[in-house]
Amino acid sequence: MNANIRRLGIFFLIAFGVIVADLTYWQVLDASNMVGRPDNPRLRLQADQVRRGRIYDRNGVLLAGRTIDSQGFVHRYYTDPSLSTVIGYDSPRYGMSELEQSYNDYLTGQVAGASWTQVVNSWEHRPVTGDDITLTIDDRLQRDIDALMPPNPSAAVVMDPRNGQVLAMVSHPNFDANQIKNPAYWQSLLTDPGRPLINRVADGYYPPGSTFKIVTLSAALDSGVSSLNDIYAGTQALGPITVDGHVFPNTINNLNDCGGRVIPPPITLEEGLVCSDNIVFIQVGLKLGGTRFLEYAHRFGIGSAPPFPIPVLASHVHTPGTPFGQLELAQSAFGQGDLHVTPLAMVMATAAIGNGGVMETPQLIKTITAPNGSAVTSPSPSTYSTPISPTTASEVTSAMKQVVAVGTGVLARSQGISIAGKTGTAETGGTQLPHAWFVCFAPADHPRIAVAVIVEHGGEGATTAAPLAGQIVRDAVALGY
Amino acid sequence: MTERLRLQEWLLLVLANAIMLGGFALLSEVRYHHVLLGQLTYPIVFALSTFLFSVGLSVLQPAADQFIWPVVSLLAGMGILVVSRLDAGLGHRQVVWTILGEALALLALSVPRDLTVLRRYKYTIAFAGLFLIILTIVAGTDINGSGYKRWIGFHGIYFQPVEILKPMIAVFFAAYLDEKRELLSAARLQIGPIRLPPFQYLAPLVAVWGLSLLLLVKQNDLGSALLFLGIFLAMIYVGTARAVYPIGGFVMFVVGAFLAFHLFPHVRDRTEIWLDPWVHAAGSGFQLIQGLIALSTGGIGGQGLGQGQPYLVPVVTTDFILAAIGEELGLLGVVALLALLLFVVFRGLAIAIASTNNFHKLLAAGLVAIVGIQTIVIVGGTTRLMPLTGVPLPYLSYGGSAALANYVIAGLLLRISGARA
Repeated sequence: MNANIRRLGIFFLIAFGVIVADLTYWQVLDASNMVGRPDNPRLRLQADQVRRGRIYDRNGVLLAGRTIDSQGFVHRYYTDPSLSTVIGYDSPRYGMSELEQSYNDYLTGQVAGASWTQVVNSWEHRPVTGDDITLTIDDRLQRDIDALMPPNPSAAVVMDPRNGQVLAMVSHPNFDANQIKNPAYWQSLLTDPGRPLINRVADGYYPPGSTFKIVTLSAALDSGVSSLNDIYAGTQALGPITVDGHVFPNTINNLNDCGGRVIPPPITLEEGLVCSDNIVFIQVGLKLGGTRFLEYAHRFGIGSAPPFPIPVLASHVHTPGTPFGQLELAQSAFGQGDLHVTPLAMVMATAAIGNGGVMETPQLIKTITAPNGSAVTSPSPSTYSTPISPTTASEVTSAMKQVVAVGTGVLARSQGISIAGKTGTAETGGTQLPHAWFVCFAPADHPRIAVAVIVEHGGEGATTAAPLAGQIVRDAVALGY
Repeated sequence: MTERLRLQEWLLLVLANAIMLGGFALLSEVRYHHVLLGQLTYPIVFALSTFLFSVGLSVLQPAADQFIWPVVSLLAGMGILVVSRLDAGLGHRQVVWTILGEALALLALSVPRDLTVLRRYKYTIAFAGLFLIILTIVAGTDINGSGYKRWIGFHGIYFQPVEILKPMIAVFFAAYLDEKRELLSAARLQIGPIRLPPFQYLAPLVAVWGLSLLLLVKQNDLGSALLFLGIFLAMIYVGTARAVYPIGGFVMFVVGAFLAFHLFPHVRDRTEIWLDPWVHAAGSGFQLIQGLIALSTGGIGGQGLGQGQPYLVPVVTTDFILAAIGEELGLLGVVALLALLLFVVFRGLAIAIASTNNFHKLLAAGLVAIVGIQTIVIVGGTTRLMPLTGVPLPYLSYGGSAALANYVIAGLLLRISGARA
């Protein structure tokens, strides 16, 4: 009988060995696979307990906060709906967007540089506290602009040309990220024809219209093919002009009502900008040539997307690899053709002219602060590109000052503030009104702010966008900028 | 009188209780950031009871094995610890049940005066067991809404007859095999290459087979069915050395289970969950998959006592206690506890080998087979080695009837070990 008992013991030994091997499979070999299963309730529990980092404006005004309920779960709230397309949302059901998404690793405390406290916290299974983010946004200016801009699709962005810091970015219509958890509200956002989830500053995609003439003019002056005093007489100023068989019609209206004045030919190149004369700019573009035109466009950042904390569309000047014909060049020279830009790209180009020809990388993050108060990172200003020389920049600036002083931009004129700007009226085809644009910087000689404004299908830039931009400048100056 | 001084046992008990109390102190620290004496009252009472039992052993069975009691106490202590972590109230009740179990084990150490006298009452015991099962099927209570009447009792005090039946059936088989082993070893019937004993001696085998299927079908208690069959086959193998019994019994069970699979939907459901739990992840396979996720969350070292979320697994205090242990104590903790269970089994088998009395040999082997097979069935069910069947993990799961049965097993083993001299 004893031999059988021993064999029974061997059976149990083997059976327990098999069980331990199987446990090793589940607990070690296949563990990460099982733990990562979406039906593991621990994942959501942990995520819901993370003390998500707060977001502040440049002056410490709370923009995105957190509350912790009695069960230890963290809830997100937002204080300024006008920033809904900048900060985005963090929804268990619909995911994340904008900064909430792109800086999620910081906000949830997952970025390395793990301090000793964090290691101890993880041993102790304490909820993780994320890093706080301070934006370059000034919420006072943001709210002013939000109140100023029309409710229909439109966008405005304010940047400090000296360091690329974005002070305000408004995109209309916007939404209330606090209500995202309501499925009916979410559905209404998805079906809204105004597409409130889009950040129109970074992801709006528009032909720049005549605002692009500042780029064409910069290129022509910087490369030496033109000077501001070049004379355009007769049909050179008035048209019509034929390029590759396409007839560009007479522009007498522009010269008959240039900021309320009549400017009869002959006119200078500067007056061509001041009165936004397409015929003049077609000739400047043709004189410049396709290669140089594209080169300068690229130097101004058109054709690519700048690095930015939230998703940005790349602006488009011309499809590479396809021939850049005379007609497309002529159209592009005054901002039509195949050109498509974001308001962010336009404000960067404008700021570069104001900043003596140096384009700064756009900034949205001022500092990121660890829970213990130490700075995790503070992005420092960096030059993105140097499209033109300081001399060219000051020449273009003087012409843009004239635009606001006596030209198409007079409705942006502001008492005691010198503004350099440019209107744009971008044709979109079809029967809808054109997009109304205005770009400017102020004070013109040592700018502290650059502004781009667009009102989709808002009509003339001169009458719709210029007054808005002027008010934005005055608001910014009133706040000390 | 040096024999009465059970020094090894005392030292090991100190260690076992230190581990258990250390665990409670840790749990209190995690929960309240202080070691609160109030949190330690029940475990201290339990620790004292283990020493008291040891004193009882010195008096009643001074020559008994000195390793079994500390190991059983450590297993029970860890069970109380994990159950308390999941549900403090249940933990208190488990302490009460465990102390009642110790009292019952103390009784088993001395009554009856001669253990072999049980042989005479083997049929009484067998019929009492059968009666209990039938009574449960007829007049039982379904206290947890499983759809099956598995409890007997009233006014809030219920017990599971199937647990009490486990040691009873080991006693019956030991007595039966001790009497008939010669006859069963001899082969009289020849069917082809298979030689079998006369049919009348096979009757108990058929009876146990029937009992297993009855439990399976009427109670949906596949675990107990497997367990009873397993005990019987292990014991008949020990008694007769004829491999035909375990093999034949296993084949018969497979045939029965195959029939049950086709005849009874609940048996079919279980098998399908076992074969492919993933497609039923949110439904019938939920418990199994959540248990596996808990085990995986534990990894090698575990999340730490009180620091995981084992309460997310359904029925975690009883059938799925392993998932809770695995999540918080990790593979290391689980393997350590399995090693302790295997130690009890091996110690029991060593006692069986050392015993000079055949009834004692068979009984000791049968008792540890209960512990070993039950462990394999529930752990294997949790890790998907075999279909999931609800049996408690010996000494560790919450359960009053199970605690009483497990302590009777421990008491009988100690008694047999002490009687060998």
